[in-house]
Amino acid sequence: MSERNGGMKRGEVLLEVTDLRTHFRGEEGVAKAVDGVSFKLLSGETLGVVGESGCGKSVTAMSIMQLVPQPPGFIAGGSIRFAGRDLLSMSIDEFRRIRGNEIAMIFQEPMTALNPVYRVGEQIAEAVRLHQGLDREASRARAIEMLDLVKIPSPEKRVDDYPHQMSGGMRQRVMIAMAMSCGPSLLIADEPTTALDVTVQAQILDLIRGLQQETGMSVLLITHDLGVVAEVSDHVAVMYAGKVVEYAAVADLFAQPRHPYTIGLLKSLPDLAAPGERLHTIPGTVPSAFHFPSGCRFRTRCPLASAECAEREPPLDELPDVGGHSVACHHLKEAEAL
Amino acid sequence: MTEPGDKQADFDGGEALSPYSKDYWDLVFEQLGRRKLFKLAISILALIYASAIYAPLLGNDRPYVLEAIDYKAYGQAQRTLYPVALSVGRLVRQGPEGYEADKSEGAEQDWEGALQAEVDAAENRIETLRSYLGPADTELLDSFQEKLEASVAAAGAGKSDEATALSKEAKEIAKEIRTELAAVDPENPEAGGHELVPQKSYPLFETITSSEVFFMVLWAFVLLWPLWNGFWNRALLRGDRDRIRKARRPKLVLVVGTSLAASLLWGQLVGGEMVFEVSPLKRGLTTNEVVATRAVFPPFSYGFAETSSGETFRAPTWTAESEIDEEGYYVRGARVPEPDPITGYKPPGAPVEVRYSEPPRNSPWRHPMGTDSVGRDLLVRMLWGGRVSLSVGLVSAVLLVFIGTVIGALAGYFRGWVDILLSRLIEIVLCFPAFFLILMVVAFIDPNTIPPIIAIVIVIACVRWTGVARLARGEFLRLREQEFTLAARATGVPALRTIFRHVLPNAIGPILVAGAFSVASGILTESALSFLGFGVKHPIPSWGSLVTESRSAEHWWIQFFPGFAIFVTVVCYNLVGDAIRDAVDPKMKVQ
Amino acid sequence: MFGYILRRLLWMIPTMFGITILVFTAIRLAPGDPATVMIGISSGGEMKGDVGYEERIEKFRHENGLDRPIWIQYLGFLGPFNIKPDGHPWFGGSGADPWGGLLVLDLGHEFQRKTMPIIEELGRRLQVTIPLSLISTLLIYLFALPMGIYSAVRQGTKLDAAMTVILFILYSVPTFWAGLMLILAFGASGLHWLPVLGLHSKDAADLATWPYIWDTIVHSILPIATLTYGGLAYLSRQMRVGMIEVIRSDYIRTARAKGLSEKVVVMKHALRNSLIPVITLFASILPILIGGSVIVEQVFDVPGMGRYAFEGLIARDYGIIMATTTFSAFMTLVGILLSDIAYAMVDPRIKYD
Repeated sequence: MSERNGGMKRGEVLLEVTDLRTHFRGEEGVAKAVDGVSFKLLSGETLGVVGESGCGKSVTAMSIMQLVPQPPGFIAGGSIRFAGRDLLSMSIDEFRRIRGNEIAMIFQEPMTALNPVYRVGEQIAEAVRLHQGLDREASRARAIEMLDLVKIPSPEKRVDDYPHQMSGGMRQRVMIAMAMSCGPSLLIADEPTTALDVTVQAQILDLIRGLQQETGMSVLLITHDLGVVAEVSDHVAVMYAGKVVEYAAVADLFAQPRHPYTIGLLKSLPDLAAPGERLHTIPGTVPSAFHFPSGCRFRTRCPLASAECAEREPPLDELPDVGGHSVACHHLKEAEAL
Repeated sequence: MTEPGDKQADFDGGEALSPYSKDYWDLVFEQLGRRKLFKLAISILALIYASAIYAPLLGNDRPYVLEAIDYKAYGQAQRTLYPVALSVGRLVRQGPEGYEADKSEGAEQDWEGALQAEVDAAENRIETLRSYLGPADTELLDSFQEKLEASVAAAGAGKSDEATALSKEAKEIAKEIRTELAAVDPENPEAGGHELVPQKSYPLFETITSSEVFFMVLWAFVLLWPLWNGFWNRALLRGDRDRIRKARRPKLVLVVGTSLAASLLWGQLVGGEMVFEVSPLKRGLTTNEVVATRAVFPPFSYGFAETSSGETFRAPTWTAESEIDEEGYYVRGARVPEPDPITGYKPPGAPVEVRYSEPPRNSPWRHPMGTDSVGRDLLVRMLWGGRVSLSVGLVSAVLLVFIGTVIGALAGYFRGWVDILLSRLIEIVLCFPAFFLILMVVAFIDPNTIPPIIAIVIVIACVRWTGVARLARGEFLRLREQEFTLAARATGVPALRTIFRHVLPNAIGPILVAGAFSVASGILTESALSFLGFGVKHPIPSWGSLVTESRSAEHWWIQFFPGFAIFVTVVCYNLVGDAIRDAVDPKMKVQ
Repeated sequence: MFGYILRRLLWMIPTMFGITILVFTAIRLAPGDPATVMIGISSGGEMKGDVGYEERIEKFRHENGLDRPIWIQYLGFLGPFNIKPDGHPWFGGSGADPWGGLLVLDLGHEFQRKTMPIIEELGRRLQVTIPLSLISTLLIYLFALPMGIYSAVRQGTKLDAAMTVILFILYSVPTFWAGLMLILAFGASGLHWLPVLGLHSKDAADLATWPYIWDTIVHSILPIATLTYGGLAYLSRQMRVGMIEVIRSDYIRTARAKGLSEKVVVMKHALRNSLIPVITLFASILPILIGGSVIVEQVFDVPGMGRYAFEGLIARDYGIIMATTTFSAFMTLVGILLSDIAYAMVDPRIKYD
């Protein structure tokens, strides 16, 4: 399957998102849910996008797949390049050939993500028939293959089940099977384990990891759980209020977080080594997407906020001393003291 | 960019603080306030209900205030005083024994009762005479009264001779009254006579009952709601949202309390009673038996039962086909009478009688919605008819929501065998076509044992509660499993209290929606029942029964206007229901 | 599935019993003496003080069995034996038919026309009402579904807004008013395109087959339109709402994420899910049509079952009323059963064993 990476070798840029802006028109104005997000995803690697609810990470993923509901939402700017092609300038028909085929997505709620009136196998086979032109028998065989790939026992029996006959974890496996069925080079996983039990979480993450290693595909993993990020990602992008505030390799990020927000996040994790300590919190709440603060958006909750932070938005700059680690903050020096 | 915490003026004079201090109802009202259609619908409904509530003040054949001289009444009082005096004299002369002997078979009164009755009659007439004559000419009246009272007292004390003598004197005075106290003939002022003083009275208000007053005052508050509520919120509470929220209950108390107080006060002071007959006043004013110096009539000065034989099935007077000439013949259209081709005989026309205070014969304002088979004005009948249709719709909806909510809540909350039993009950009632069943039961109700309007309300409620019950049951089943219910139960709140104080306020959204739609369906049902002839009986009009006055295609106004009124009301209620449904949608956006 | 259908059919029998008992008692429980109501109507409104009034009431009640205990009256209605007025059941010596009652499909005789068996007249009337109702239902579904789908998919466009407004208005129009307005508009005084009364022209019996059929069709247009518009507005609103909600759900997003074209997403994935609630609505449309037929048949002078029920009510004829009500309840039950079966067929989550 490794030839399917669009001919890419491991380490080349597969997905490049530049200054993506996705806005929503609402009654109170325009919500700038994603406002200038840029990152690169290399072939064969896992990028974890992490942040609180409302920071725009899901919208980013949906924008890549062009699944943002168009009446209130619209892509206001930026570019998304996949395997050298500009996705946003394609016609929708062209893009549909990529969607589900070269880029696949799995979602957060497995309980409602499958159509309740069609059999599971049929839902997988449908994608295969569409993108790979197989006939009914062949696509059904492929569906069984896929169910096996995601380690569902007795796949030849399960293929005729309806979603309501399966548990949450199994349904998520089916979703993964469906996503993998056409051999995509990029898998976008939007909070795939949030709705599952902890033990099932671990299984699913293992599965994704294993599939990635087998096929060499890239994974864009959206989550709010730092533990998940630490487990599976190669690189991490931390998002806040529609912007990326820090980007680094995973080990780097956890060892040496630079942005005050990241530092705050990591500090809030309960530490088993120090029981009885008061839990750290970041004061305040995420601002409404209609009314972001001027300048740096984190300044209303940042202990280091200054006048400069209100006037000028800090750019996401690569750190001079460490390679591949970018931060958007005016007060990096002071941040080290946190 | 605005900072969180900026204050913005809100739609009702309060100010919007940060989103977190709004409670559920604040959000709902805000959502509702944003929808223009909702506001429009509510305004139209308020006006429609106003027209029904204030119907007696809008379409009535009695004037609000009347300053007039009732020559006929005066003349009658003046002339019939003497016969009364005669009767008194006879009774006094007979004495109790003579009376008993003379009494006819089956007469129930005794001597004292008969005497008292005659005295009362005399008193009435004296009252009338006194009020019209003013202070100057009361000598005769005073002396008459004196003599009469003395005579009666003497007779009561047994001094029959004295009594007889006194009564004779009273008779003489009465004779004098008859000749001397004649009033000035308004058409012949030179002939002499006494000048009468006009009496002031409020005939219309005397027909308004205290319960009607309750609704009128209540509705005045409702109609003026934006004004007084906005004023209260802005001026007194200075827009503080928390205080506004706390002020909800006092406002309610004020509105209901004032209405109640006004209604009780009215009952004591005026004590009006509803009248169904046509008022003799209008007739008197028209024939100049009553001469008014000031008479203020309602805008549509017809009674809902007031007929007019010259104007049967008259088209709305603003149409060309409605014009009638002086002899009562139609000028154009299908109803122009043709003389018989052989004999040349033309049937006599029925001239249109333009009564006191009515617009001229062919004025467009005379009968804006035409008349019915006996010449009754349709607009006034629609005003009064609206009372039936609107109140049946509203009351039946309130009742059925109540029944349905209670049953559904019990079924959904307690589950188990209670649920099974109640669900079976719901299913059984659902097996019937609702309208059919309602029709069946209503048709068999004897109008003598129970007023049809109450029966219709009860039957509609007893048949249609199932929809709400299912909704309520679904909501309660869902909410029962939510954390706040479990918390309430865990802390030991008794079951009934949990239901009504904790779960119900959350379930009430969809129930309110169903309620709004139920009013619409109640109005439709009542009008359909009346249309088929099974609704309220004559002479009370209802929108549905008005339509049945004529099925002929010539009389389009009879079929059009009442149905149109129903249509507009139903549209408004449906808009309200839709708006509430969107406002309580759990996917409400909190910005 | 067959077992389920069989069980439901069997279950219908006690339910029908329950319904007949319920209707029977409901009518008897209505406040007021039915005899006075019926005598009052049939003899032109007598006053209480009339000579012989009391005797006539007594005679009437005895003749029609109203003076017997209520459960015997019910048995008389139910059968299978005829119960004579003096209380003795079955096998009377006068030669009267011993069999009678609902169980042998004898619904009694009309009060006004004493020799007319109700079931015969009912059958005649049903031949009119059932086709009208069926055609109406068909038209409702035929038009409402596409309209609802189109409206949901093209949500927010001018056409959708216009359609929503029009349907909303239609939904709020009272049935009898709609009928009357249609008559005014299309009848002799208006455009004079369509006949407005009855199901046939006066001389219809003389027409040959095809012109006769055409005549019937033309006469049926307005009544069917009046029967249909309400259900059409209602159902298409429901379809639209259901469709919009389904389109917003997660599995539609999944379908799109697979790269399926919008057409397939809507027609294959969304449609079947949104049909489910709409199919169950069939159970409620039928009773509305039955109730509406009373009004429509009265307005358009169509001799159907609704009209028959109305005539029975005017005449306070227990027999006709029981017959029509029982039959309507039966039709409603059938509608509910059909709807449940269809529901099970469409939604795989429902399994009846």
